[in-house]
Amino acid sequence: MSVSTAMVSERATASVATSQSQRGSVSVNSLTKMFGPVKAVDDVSLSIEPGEFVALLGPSGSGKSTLLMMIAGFEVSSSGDIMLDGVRINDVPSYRRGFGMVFQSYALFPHMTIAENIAYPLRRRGLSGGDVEREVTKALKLVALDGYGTRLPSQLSGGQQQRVALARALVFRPPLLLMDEPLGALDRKLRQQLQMEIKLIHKEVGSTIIFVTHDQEEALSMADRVAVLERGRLQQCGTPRELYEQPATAFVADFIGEMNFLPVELRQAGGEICARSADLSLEVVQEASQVLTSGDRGLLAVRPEYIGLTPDERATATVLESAYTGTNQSVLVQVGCIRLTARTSVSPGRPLFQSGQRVRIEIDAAHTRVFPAAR
Amino acid sequence: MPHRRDTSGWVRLVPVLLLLPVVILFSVGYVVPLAQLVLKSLRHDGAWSLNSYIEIANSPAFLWIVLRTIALAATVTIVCLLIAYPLAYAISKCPPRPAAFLLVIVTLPYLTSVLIRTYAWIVLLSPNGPINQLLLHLGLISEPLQMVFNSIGVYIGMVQIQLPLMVFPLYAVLARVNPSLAKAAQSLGSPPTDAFLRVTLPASMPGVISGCTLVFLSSLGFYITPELLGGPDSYLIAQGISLRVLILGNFDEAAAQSSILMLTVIAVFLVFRQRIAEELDDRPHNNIPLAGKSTSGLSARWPILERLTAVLHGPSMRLHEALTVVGRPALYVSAGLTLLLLVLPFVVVIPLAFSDAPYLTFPPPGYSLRWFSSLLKNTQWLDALSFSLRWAGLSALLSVAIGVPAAFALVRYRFSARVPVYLLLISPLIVPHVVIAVSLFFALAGSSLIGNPLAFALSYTIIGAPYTVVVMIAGLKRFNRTLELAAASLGSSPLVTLRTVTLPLLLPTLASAALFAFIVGFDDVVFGLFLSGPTATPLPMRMWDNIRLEISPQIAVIAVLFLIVLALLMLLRLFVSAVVQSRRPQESLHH
Ligand SMILES: Nc1ncnc2c1ncn2[C@@H]1O[C@H](COP(=O)(O)OP(=O)(O)OP(=O)(O)O)[C@@H](O)[C@H]1O
Ligand SMILES: [Mg+2]
Repeated sequence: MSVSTAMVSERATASVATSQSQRGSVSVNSLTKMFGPVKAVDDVSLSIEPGEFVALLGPSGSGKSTLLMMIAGFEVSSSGDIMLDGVRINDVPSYRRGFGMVFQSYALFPHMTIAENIAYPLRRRGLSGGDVEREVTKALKLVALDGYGTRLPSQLSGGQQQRVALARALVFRPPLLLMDEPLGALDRKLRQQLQMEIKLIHKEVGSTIIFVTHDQEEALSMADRVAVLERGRLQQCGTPRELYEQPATAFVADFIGEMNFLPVELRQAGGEICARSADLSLEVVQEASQVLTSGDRGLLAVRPEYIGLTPDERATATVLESAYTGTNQSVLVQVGCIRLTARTSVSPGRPLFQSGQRVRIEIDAAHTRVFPAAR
Repeated sequence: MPHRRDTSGWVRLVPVLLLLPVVILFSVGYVVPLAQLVLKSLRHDGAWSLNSYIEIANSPAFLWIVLRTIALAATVTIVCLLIAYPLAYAISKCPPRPAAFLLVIVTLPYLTSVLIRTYAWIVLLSPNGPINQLLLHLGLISEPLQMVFNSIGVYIGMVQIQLPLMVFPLYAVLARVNPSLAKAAQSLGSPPTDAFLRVTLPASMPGVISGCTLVFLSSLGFYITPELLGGPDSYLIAQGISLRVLILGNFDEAAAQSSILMLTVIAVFLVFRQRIAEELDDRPHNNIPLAGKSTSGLSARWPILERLTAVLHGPSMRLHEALTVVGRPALYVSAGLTLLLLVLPFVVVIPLAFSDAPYLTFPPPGYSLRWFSSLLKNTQWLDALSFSLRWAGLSALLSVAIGVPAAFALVRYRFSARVPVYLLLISPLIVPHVVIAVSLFFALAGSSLIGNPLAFALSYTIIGAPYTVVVMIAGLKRFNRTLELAAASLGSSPLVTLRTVTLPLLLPTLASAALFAFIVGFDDVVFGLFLSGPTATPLPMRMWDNIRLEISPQIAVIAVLFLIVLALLMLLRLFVSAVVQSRRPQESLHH
């Protein structure tokens, strides 16, 4: 056991020195972390290709940081494997893993200048003199802070400090860059600017990136793939489009974008499941998955843009409230005891919906998904 | 298969290794001697017996001494609380810079030797001293008041000496009380004084309790001030003990009295251990206990009380409004007077050092440097000074060397003995030094260590290490550990992280820790009384003899030199933190 561990760490360290290409494939298998009785991370499996940008998304307390910390080597997993390029690294100490890390609080060393901060990982790798100076200059240029090397961290703004943290984490060309809510402390405008910069830098350096955030917009706009966590469990990992169009669970459906949930009754018919809503006199037929069985109560998920409204004095649905947003109008509709939000595009000349107006509801069955209700 | 780091066995050993030096030293030099002291008190003529205790219990003189000691400690505690609270409150309301300055004024007397301050009080309170002169001049009295060498002197001196110990915990808590709490209460209809009584005062109770515990416990075992300022009729328990050991040679009774004093102090200490141990962790301090909550969530009160408050509401609001008008000036006057009391000793000591009189008189008839040059010519004083510098310095280094790893273990690791070890390491702060010194005296008696500098190194380290532990724990708790994670992610092994990140950033804390440990040893009189010998006489012993035998301006010269060194050290510490905070940009890339 100890022999193989030693070999593994040797290879893991050696890999830091080898060339960048095709390194940085990360996979975690059945990874679990217990804090006493609390399962902070619960049987998570995930595999990430070299050079991929993956966001870990989830509400507060869902285990994103814990998962990241285990990959970084700052938390010891309770069970499961963490693999880098096919090698198990659970027992490699964090400082030998060679991953870059960017913290929400920047974590710049306050007693060192910006240049010293960026030189720090290079010195730990035995570089000195002109080599260090060259790399530091390059890294500062990468984050558009050339000329700031002689300042102290306290003399920079929050956004600048975060860029220094990024430069410091990238200067030694890590195969994998980990970021824990790196933009959490910045204001909206700066966030958006840095989001773009990080994407550009990712293109330029090609490291694999795992990026923790609880902001779904940030995750969807930046990442190649998004892994959604809830209460320690991986709900789904897919491209932003997959998450939006084919959410695997009701949680993902609710968490990503806007979603209406209608209570439905489920009936099994051969290989198909039929969901019926009495209030809407609506029936949707979908392929049955193993989780759904007849007689269950279910939830029909439909996004606001797939709900059509037509003014109709004889209809049972009533407009409660509406909000005009330029190209769209969001309309809250009451039908029976259900409330739905619809989004209709505004075309010139067509009147807007008014509160109290009666409307007919049409739901595009092709864009609905059925989930079991017991969630 | 559960994967655990196979180093976990080693990880568990780390805190043990870190604590080993300090625990060994404390066992040998502190726990074992104290245990022997208690055992000794239980033996008589080579057999087990309660004889010493029976004798003590039958002695009315001892009971009087105990009562007098408790009365003094309680009175000093209450007076300190009453005059320290307004000062601490006023400082907590100050902007950061003035607050820091005022805290230095409180700290300065705390760091100045008790001996020097007591000496100043002898001068201040003496029949022809400045206070009597002032009162006579104002026509308030017709003949000088006898305020020294009796219990009045002891009370005044003790209050001034213990004051900082009350101000610190009060300030710490008051500074933490969220100012928006009181503002919120005001916005909800409480006049400021009422808001103070309902919100700020309850929130500051933890500080009141800590301050009172500290002052009361350390007053119980006080020796120097009562011995120098008091008269023969106002003996306290610590004096009784040292008298029995040093003069009467009644060791059994001394052991019994020491045991009683120590066990009482330890018992009170253990009662408050929960609150003391809280310092170790970051649990919130200002949680107000919600006593007598009823089912409605409103505090349950007797109906009659409820009715009474309703009736009195109008007048009480007007009273509060009136108090608000006088409250602020009263607060500042009281805080100012307390500050004056704190600096009063320096006001006499500094001019006195430059006196040209051949004897002690205040104000000096003229000024010269004669007492400075007399100090430089006196080899006895210089030898004592170099002895103190050397051995207090060595002990400070030793305290840092064993206290800093211990603080790391206590803050960074969780293990079952954590709280007990912490209480043990800080207990020399409250176990009276007389008791520790007597126990060492008995333990070393007969060996060549009495009168040996090594005995001083040992005892200075035992009373100095608690300060390094406390200062380092505070520093480590403030330390942002994400920086260490960052260093690890950048490729630093734990030891390299310690060298390049943790220790450089903790340098100012280390300097404070060393300074405290040094001053504690450098100021000590009590261990000197029991452990001195012809070749081992620390400076405070020379000062002690001078004050008791001739009392000259010589002490004032030492005090001035001490203040200069202290100021230099404080500047140095400021400089160190300034260097840590902002190294010159030019050296950015070159070590
Ligand atoms: N050191 C710890 N000890 C005990 N429980 C912990 C510890 N660290 C995290 N937890 C618990 O594990 C769970 C996951 O925490 P984690 O910090 O990973 O969440 P997160 O998704 O990063 O949340 P946030 O968005 O708020 O940062 C939470 O329930 C948390 O309370
Ligand atoms: Mg987190």
